[in-house]
This record gives sequence, structure tokens and C-alpha cells, in this order.
Amino acid sequence: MIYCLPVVLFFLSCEKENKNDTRFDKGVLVTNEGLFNASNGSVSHIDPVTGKVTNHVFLTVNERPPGDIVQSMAVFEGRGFIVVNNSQKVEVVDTESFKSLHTITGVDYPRYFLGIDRNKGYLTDGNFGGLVRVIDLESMEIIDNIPVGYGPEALVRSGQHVFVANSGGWGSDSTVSVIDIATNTVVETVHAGDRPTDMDVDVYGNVWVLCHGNLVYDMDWNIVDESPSMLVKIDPLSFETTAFEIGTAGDGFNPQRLAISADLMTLYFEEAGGVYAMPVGSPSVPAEPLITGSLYGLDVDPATGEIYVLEANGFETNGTARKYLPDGTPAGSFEVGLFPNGAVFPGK
Amino acid sequence: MMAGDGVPVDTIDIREVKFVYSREKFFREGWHGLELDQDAIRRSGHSTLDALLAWHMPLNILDYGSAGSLSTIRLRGTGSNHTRVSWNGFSLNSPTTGTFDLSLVPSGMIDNLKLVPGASGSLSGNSTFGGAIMLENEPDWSGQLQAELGTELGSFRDRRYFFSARTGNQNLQSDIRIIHQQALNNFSFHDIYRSGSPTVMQVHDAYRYSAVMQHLFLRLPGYQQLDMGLWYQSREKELPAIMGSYAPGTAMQADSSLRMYARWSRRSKQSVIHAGTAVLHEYLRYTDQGQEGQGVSAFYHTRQVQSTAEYRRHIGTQLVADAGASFEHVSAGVEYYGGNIEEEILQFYSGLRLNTKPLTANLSVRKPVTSLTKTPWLLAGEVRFSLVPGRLYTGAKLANRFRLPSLNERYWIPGGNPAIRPESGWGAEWMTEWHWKAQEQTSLQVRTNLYSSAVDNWIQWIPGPTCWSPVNMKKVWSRGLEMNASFRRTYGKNFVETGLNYHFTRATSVEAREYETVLFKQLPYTPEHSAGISFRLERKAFSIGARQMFMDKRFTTADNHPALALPAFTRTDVQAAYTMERAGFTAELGGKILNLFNHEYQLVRSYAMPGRSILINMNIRVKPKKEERLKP
Repeated sequence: MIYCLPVVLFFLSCEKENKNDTRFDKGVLVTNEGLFNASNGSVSHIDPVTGKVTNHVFLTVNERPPGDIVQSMAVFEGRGFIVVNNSQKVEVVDTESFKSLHTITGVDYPRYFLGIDRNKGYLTDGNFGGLVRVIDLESMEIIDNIPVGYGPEALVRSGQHVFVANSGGWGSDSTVSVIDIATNTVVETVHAGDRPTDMDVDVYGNVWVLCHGNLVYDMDWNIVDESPSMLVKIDPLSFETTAFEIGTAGDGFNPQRLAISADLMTLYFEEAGGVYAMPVGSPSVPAEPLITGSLYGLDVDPATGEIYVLEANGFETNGTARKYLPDGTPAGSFEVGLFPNGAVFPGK
Repeated sequence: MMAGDGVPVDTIDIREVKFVYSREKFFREGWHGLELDQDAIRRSGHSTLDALLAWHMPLNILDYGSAGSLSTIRLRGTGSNHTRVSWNGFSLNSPTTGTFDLSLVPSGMIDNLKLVPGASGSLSGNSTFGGAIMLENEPDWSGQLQAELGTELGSFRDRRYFFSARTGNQNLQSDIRIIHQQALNNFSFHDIYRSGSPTVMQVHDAYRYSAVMQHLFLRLPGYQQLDMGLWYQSREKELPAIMGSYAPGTAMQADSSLRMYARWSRRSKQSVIHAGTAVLHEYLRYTDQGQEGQGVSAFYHTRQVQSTAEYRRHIGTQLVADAGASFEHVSAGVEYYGGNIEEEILQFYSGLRLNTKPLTANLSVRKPVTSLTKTPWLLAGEVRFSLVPGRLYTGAKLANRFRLPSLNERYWIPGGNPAIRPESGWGAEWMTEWHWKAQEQTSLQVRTNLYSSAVDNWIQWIPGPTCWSPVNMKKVWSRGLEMNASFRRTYGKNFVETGLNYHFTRATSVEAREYETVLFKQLPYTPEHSAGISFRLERKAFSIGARQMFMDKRFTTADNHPALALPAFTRTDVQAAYTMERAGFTAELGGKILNLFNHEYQLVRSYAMPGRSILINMNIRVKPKKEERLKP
């Protein structure tokens, strides 16, 4: 039949993309969330020297997409842990070749991974009562579960403790759980601002928590209460907190991204108007943004201090990664995948 | 139905009974892309509207998975909210999204279907860039009891049951239909989004659907008629996890609707007057308990009141003029709208039809009036010319269209944009049609349509500083070719027929706000080429049929990234039936094999589609006495 011809031609014309010899353990890896329920999440690689961008790294190397909602990626001891939220899995890859090594399953709502030592890693999981999954990095099996707060998101290590931001998920929370990595138990629950989402550790070991703020609606969806977005500093030993109000109630803006400079002395946080820079010793928050605009992801290259601002451009259009020098000077832009939400620097 | 050179007349005499054409039907004759009568619909078995349409034409229908899943249509490279679906003249499109779920219409609920690609806004109103689908129920004034009981059992625990009964006399007709459908949808598929593409079994994909439709048709003195219809339906559907997931889905969706209408008409020798009103309630509840047993839920309820009044008059023998008005009131109780929404829109319209022997011409105009936004005048002009009487026709059409933003686009919290403008645009079309007949036994019909249309201010949700928001994003230009050929040869009571359809669609963004990478790229989920071939043979009590369709690759992103495109596929379906007639009863035993060659494909990225499925159906009908059946 005549119309079958296009089918034949289509299959004849299908050729696999040329593999190249790019090493993915150098440069910048960008996680692109993709569209919900479309399985079009991806990982992009940027060579900051040549400016070459390789999109769909995982798909190209492994001949299948990483999955639905690529939430985050962490690099630990030569392996990349790609957390794929709505596929309920973590894809483990060799960071040099990006070949799939393993798929960690048995999770519900995975968010962020943190490597602890050669034997274990932590993974936040859950949108209501949350867990930190303890993963055996040899077998890649879940070997323990640590109950934490609602909707655990980012997690960072300071000393022998891991701090977990309990964002509230689909419920509500305002705490940070502190886990003793020797015993895999929660030893302290710190009250921070409402909806803690992102964290970083400064040069002094202080844990900085970005709190999104809370919105309360009445039955008619009128906002009846709103708490301001906050930056909260947690002392790693005493767990005492110092809070900085970075947004005001009623501004309609609730930030989610926090990053820290290469020397761990300057915080970069998202707020209405763009990206703000705040020295860790500053007694007050800056009034003007360092970088203006809206963003979907924010990270800093720990070697160069270059700031990567990630912008989403819509349901069906690739996003943009914009690079800035530490003083906010634009230094390039790159077309990456759909909904870029984070950058990882595997060589650092 | 046509008279003479394919030119419609206003009413058709059948003995002393007259059927009155609706306005849309009257002005649209000659421009339909697909028309199915009761027999053609019945032959499709116990399917739903999406499967019924797909069987007859290679249309771009997006099924979000197996039976009972959401199914929308994108005609001529437009969006799923650009095709108006109406039931006996009243719009069924959701006011919240502007779309219509085709899977919520079992084919047994309707007697007539008309699909008009690229319908003009002046005739159909809101949202017809893609086209219009008209679903109709008609009375049968024969006065005979007609009853049917049917069932269809198939793979994946698909169970469908159908009952209908028509009865009455020359003045009152009652028509009731009851349908129940359910399926477990436990098919297996290769999950290509997982490492090693393992074969997995679909879970949490079951659905149950029940519906009842009751019509009363009443003939009154003075050539008056009153039609009343009620349609209640309810569906519960498990929403499965998408491909690549390592945990089963936990979400559920429950839809229900209650639709009622009444229409009065009176005809005289020179005029027809219609007045009708409909009340449409739509409910939707989405719940997701999650793996942890704590979850979210959302509830939607909309109520629409649609009223129309129309007058049509013959002026001399060649000219018909009409005028009318419609009023629509929408109220929506949606949690995310920040309170109840009430909206009203009034529309005035008029048309003129010139009908000479070789030429038919329509002119029509419509003006929507609403306090919500500025609306355009909608205009359309159409001509149809008989080059060789009975053999060769050609025609052209020029029309503009518009779409009012949906309630979600205006009121959703957060992000809804009350200031968003309507979509609008012009379209042109050229048609040729060739009929050939040999000794009344062999016929061939070839039809081509070339079209070009634009949608300006195309609305799209994009991320903003604080949340997603809809904006008037781009201008889209759609153009293409539709070719349909059908051949039929009759041998006494037996016949063989075959059809061939080919559609070429090129739909690109020609202007875009901010994102230049989408310019001149094919719109997502729009195949450039699609084709279908069908075959049917009826010999004595046996009938067999087959169809094969081809769908070109479809990009899933606006920048046409090849890595995310869905590959082309073909699908073949076959069916057979045996009919027995005994003592006033007709029994039919049939079967279908869908996706005969078990091809794996996706219509929407990451939504698994079932492989080969086998369905057996049995129907028993009370057969009216032949001499008393009405055959126009």
C-alpha cells in the first residue's frame, strides 16, 4: 500500500545519534525537570571552555530517557545520582561516560541525594510524613529509613550531622531535622521559618536555610495569612538559630533557591526581583538584587564562583542556563532542556 | 440529505412527516468532512466517540492511554480546545478548559454525527479553529417498537452493555438508552522508559461508566414539534502511573454530568422557527491519596444555561435568510478560582443563502457580546459550484474564528490572567468533489480540501516571576491538504466498499513572543502525514471490515527536538459479523480485533497504549415490520 511507504522511509532514515567522546565528569551538568507526566526530563552537559552544550546526555548514552521530573542530581565518588521524582527512582550513572550503572527503586517521592561515605548515602523521600532513606552504596539497596518532617527536600552535611529541610510537602512544616550520621537517627529538630526548602553550609560550618514562607487561604481561596520568606542560620553545634526576613508578607513571592559562593562566604538567594548576594557575616539583607530576572534554578560553580541562573521557558520550549561572574556580570548563556532546575559540577 | 445538485432544501417530506434541518446543518451542507448515520454508527459496535471517529478518518486524536482514558481531538493542526462539540445544537465543551473528552460519548448514544473541519465562527460560534463535531438524536415516527439489547466482551476485562427502546405513535415518541461500560485495562507493554525495556503489566487503570439518555419527541398541532432530552452519566477512572514509573498510580478521577434540553420548532411553508434551552451540569473530582495514604483532592462543578432562538425564511425560490440570538450563562464552583464565577455571553447572528441550480452561496455574520472582553465580528462567505451537474463540484470558503479564553485561563489561582485576549484568526479553504457512477451499481467519490488558516494570540501557559500564567503567546499558521476517496460496488443486496484518506498538515508558529526557537517549527503533537484505508464487504448475512491507519512522527516539544518525538506507527483493526433474522427479531454476532499486529505506540508521550485486543459482541433487536419502516 502506497501510504506504507512513509513508514518504511521513516525507519530507514532513523539513525542513532552519533556518540561523541565528551567526558561528562568535567564541566557543568544541568538537570532539566521536564514536564509532569511527559517523561521528558533530561540532563544537559555544558563545556564552559568551548561553550558546547550536549542535551539529553542520559538519553543519548543509555537510549532511554531518565524519566519523569528529574528533580536533582548529586555526584559522589565518581557516580552520579539522578533523582527522578515522578518515576519513583534514582538513576545511578558513571559520571565520566554517563552509562547507567543501577536504578534505585522502592521510593515514593524522592527529592535529593547526599553521599555520606563510601558505604552509604541519604535520600529525602515523601510529600507528607517524610523519610530519609539510607542507601547502601555497594548494593544500592535501601537499608534503613529515618523518619523526619513533612516533605523533606534539600539536605546538607556539617560535621557529623546531616541537616534536612522539611518543606511541608503537600502539608505544612517549618522544621529542620538533624541526623547523626553514625547512628542514622534524628538527634534534634530545629524550628526554622515556614517551609524550609534549600540549604547551604558556609565557611564556618553554619547551616543556612532558605524558608519559602507560608500562604494560608480561606474557603474562597483568599489569602488570609502569609508568613515572610526567611533566611535562617543554624549553629552546627548549639543548633541555635538566627533569622533574616528576606521577603515581606503580601509580596506574593516565595523563593525556593539558595546557593553559596566558591569561598563559602557569600550567600546567593532568590527573591522578588532576582538573585541577591549576602555576605554570611552581614547583619542585614541586601536591598537590591545582584542579578535581575526570574529563575527556576540557581547554583554556583564551587571552583570558579561563577553563578548559574536557570530559566524555564514554558511547557514545550527549552530552558536557558545563564552564567554570571561572581560580581553579577553576564558571562554567557546556553540552551538546555525543559525546566532546568539545578546545576552540578562533577569535576569539583 | 441532498436534493438535485447536492443542494439542500429546508425540510424533507417523508410521507406526511417532515424533518426540519437545524441552522448549522442547513448552512453547512456540502462542507462536512465526515457524516455518519445510525447504521454507520451501529456498525462500529459498542465503541466511544474517539474510536468511532478514528475508525473512519485518520484524525489526530490524543488518547491518554487505554479505554476510558481522556481523549481529545486536534483538527488541522490546532489545539484540543479548538474543536466545538455539540449535542443537538448545544455546546458540550468544558467551560473550565475549553476541551471535550471524546471518551465520554458512547457511540450508541447518538443517531447522527457530522464533523466539519475548519467550521466558521459565524455559524458555530466559539472555538472552531479546528472544526465542529455535531452529535444528534432524531425521532423515528414509524410508531413501531424498536428495542435493542447488546453486549460486548473483550480483552483486558472490557465489558460493555447496551439497552435501547423506542416506542410511541405518530405524535409522541420516546427513546431511552442505557449503557454500562467497564474495563480493568490490565494489558502488558514494553516499558521503554525503564532500563532493559521490561514487559510490565498496567495496573490502576480500571474504569466504570454508566449512562442513561431519555428523549421525548412531541408533535403538536400547527406543524409544531417539541423535543426534550436528558442525559446523565457517571464515570470513575483510576489514573495509572505513566511509563517509566516504579510505583503504581494512586489518583482517581470521577466525572459526572447531567444535561437537559428542550427545543420547540414550528414550520410553515416559507419559514421555520426554533427556540430551545439547555441546562448542563458537569462535575469532576480528582483525588490522589498517594502512597502514604494522605493526599489531595480537587472538585469542579460548572453549570451552563444555553438558550437559542432562530427564525429562517424562504424569500422566493432561491433565497433563504435567517436571524437568531443565543444566550449563555456559566457558573463555576472551582476551588482554585477564588470563589464562584458567573459569566454571560450574548450572541446575535444572521445568514443568507442563495440557491440557484449550479451555484450555492452562503453569507453569515455573528457578533458575540460580553462584558469580559472585546470580541470580533465573525464573518463567513462560502460558494459551491456545480461544474458538471451531478459529477463535479468545486467550492471556496473564507471565514474568521475566535476563542474566548477558558475559565482556567482567566481565573485559576495562582496565575489566571483576567486581561487575556481572545484568540482570533482567518481561514480560507478550497474544495473539489468528483462523483462517478456506473449503472447505479458502482460509484466512486473523490474529494480534496486545501486549507490555510491562522490563529493569532494563541494562548499558552508560561512561567512567570511567581507562578505560571497564560499569555497571548504566538501566531500559528496551519495549512494542509485532505484527500478522501471512496469506492462502492453493489451486487443486489450485497456490496463491497473501500475508502482511502490522506491528510497533510503543516502547522507552524509564525510569530512568537519571547521564544524565537519555536518559530517555523511544527506544532507539538501534530503529524505532518496521516492516512487511512478501509474495506468493507457485506454478503448476505455476513459482513467483514478492516481498516489500517498510519500516523507520522509527532514532535512533543515546540522546538521539535528529535529525541523527544514520538515515532510513526501503523495500526490495523478488523471486524466481522453474522446477522440472523427470525420472527421479528434480529440477532447479530460479531467480533473485532483491534491493533491486529500488536504494534506498540504512544499517542501521548509516556502513556502506554494497549496491544492487540479481541472483542466479541452480541446484539438482539426487535425488528420493525419492513413495510412500515421509514426510508427516505
